[in-house]
Amino acid sequence: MRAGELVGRAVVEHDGRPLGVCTDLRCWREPTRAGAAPRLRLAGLVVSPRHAGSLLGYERGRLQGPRLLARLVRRLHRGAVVVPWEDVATVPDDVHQPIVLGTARRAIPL
Amino acid sequence: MTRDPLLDPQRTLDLNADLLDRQVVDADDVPVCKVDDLLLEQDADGGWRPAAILLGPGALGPRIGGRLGATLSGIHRRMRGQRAPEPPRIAWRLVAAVDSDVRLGLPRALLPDDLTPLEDWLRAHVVARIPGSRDASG
Repeated sequence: MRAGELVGRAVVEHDGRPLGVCTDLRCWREPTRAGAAPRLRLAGLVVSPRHAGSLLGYERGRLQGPRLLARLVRRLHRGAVVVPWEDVATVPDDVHQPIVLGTARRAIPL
Repeated sequence: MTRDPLLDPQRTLDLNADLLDRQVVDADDVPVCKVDDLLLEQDADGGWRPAAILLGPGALGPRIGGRLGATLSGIHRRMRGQRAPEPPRIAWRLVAAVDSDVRLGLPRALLPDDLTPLEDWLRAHVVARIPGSRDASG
């Protein structure tokens, strides 16, 4: 599975109701020894209700300026959530089909 | 209220914001390529992890989609032939660090030589046909 097959794809609830678009893939950083490849594990989907673009890191407090751009990005992604990967029910092979969430899915507001 | 660990930037990283389209440099800071896509594979423990950085139009085309994406995919097929549809890749275990760049743990000379397929193809099929193109000094 390629990251690009998930990013930009529609995300729907178990009954087909739309939740939004997957804008990013959140991974756990797992501890490694220095100099070794960073160990990453897919942790969840960042799902934005409106906009397919990336949040550019603004939601994580890592980027501050330019202030106007930060405000615009936050506004475009108002209501964005992280859905834990274990709450994803189906990722169809056909990249034009939406990602389907499970019945008891969590959605953690950003 | 305790913040969910999934929201902790110290413990997490976002593949789109932090990795895709980033510059890949070798152990001596020499630019090698960009992260055009990432191949994720399921580990023995069930977790999905990056297995390789995918490069070139065969990786970027499907990711972009639409007309431009289809054009890139077409270029990829033309360059590699129908029999080798997979884009070139760099194994994730060769990555030493991820910050503003993606740093590899070894020099460029030790990497496969098909990492810039579009540039190589253009050099052979387009630039080489321009009169005088061989006269340029490196």
